[in-house]
Amino acid sequence: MIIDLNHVSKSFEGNPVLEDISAHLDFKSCAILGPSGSGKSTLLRILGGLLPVDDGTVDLNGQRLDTSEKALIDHRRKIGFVFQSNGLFPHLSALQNITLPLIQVHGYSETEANSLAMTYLKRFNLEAQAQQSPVTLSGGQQQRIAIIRAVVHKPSMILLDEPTSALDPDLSVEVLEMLKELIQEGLHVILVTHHLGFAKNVCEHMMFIDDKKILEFGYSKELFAQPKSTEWKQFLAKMNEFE
Amino acid sequence: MRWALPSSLSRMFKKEVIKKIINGILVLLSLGAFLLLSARMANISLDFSELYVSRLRFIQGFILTLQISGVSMLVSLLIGTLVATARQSQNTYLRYLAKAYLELIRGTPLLVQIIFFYYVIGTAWSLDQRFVAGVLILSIFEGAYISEIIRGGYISIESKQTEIAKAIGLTKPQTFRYVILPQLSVRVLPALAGQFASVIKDSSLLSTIAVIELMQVTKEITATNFGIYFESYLVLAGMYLLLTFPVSLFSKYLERRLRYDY
Repeated sequence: MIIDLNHVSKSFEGNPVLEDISAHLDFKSCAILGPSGSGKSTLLRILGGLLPVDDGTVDLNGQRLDTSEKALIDHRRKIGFVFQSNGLFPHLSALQNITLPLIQVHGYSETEANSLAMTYLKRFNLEAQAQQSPVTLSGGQQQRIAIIRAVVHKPSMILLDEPTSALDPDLSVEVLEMLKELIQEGLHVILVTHHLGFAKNVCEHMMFIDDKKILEFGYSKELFAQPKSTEWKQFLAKMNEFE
Repeated sequence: MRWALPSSLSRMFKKEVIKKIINGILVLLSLGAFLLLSARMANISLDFSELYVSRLRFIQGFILTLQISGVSMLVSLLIGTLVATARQSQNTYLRYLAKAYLELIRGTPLLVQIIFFYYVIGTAWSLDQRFVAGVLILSIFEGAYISEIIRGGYISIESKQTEIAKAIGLTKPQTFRYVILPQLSVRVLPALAGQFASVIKDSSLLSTIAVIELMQVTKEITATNFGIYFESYLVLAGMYLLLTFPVSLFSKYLERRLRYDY
């Protein structure tokens, strides 16, 4: 996946969140790290076609991301997005949550959608939960269902916005294990996270955002071994204190 | 394979059911006794036999009330949906129009609205069919309350749901059809059923403009025969209950069937 950002800016009600970002990003899996309020989730939503940029342009694999509603819908259909928490519809069963976009967006028949969804549910040991309502599932199970929904139509990449931050440590592990497996199989992923270990060991690349800008981008192992910018060094030191 | 409850469990259920039936009968008996006692203390002797002569008129009134209520429920649901949508609109004129409508309708008595609409607006626009006028007036009145029920239900569905729908690639109409509508209908049904019961009861005020519905029938019958005054009104009450009770039962049934855990 190659992403080119050209002078991208975004603000909310006059408050700038991303300021004049330009970057050439070439990666398979990339973790986005940074302090709260640094603009990580905003950048992820722009890449996911959920927010239009105020200024600048975004190119994905050489293709300009148009800001018309139609183009954004098209873009969203080609990728997968996983939210921090409560990302499932409460009025549908776990299985229906996965099949709804398959049937309504990707043109699968109900039978095809069901059998495809069940294959994934079996693979990740969620078969027994297929007919359950999301509210009866654990947070970890909910996130794993949300990840299945994001990958089941074979998207070009999936974006995850702190998928484990609302979970207890043991449940985080089951979600991260699943992601690790998918990444190792070659799924392209951008993931906002605060799990340093996961960013370092599972994601090939990482990006550090602070003060509305991308301050670092490169191979995770290198950036962890030899931090360059002072902000990244300080962030690492602060995080390591509690790891 | 035969399926049966363990005998201790089935005994428990039977006990529960018997308890419910006995208590239900007790409540009905005590209410009836209170009513009869009150009638006796007020020196009113109830004799329903004379009412038999007027049975056809009661049935006609009942049917008209049923028709007015039925049509008004549909029209008021339509008005309520439109107004709730207008309230969320980007267009300032539409939003203000909806607000003005709500304040006017909810801030004045239905009786005043009936007289004003029928004699002023109805005359001006030559709306002289009482049934149509009655349905319109009632629907405009109930529509205001229904729009607030719908709007409340809509607001209670988190904006997060719309964002998820967007993220999985649904279009706006698909989001409404597959995400908003199923959740909205479950959330507004109980309140909506309550409002529909109000439509039935409020239709009695249309007797003011001489729509020959149940209330008007009773008024006419008792005007010529004062001897059956209380009996007529008791029958009237019973007939309204006959209409509102199924609405309430139906709402409970739907609530159970459509329920999902939040």
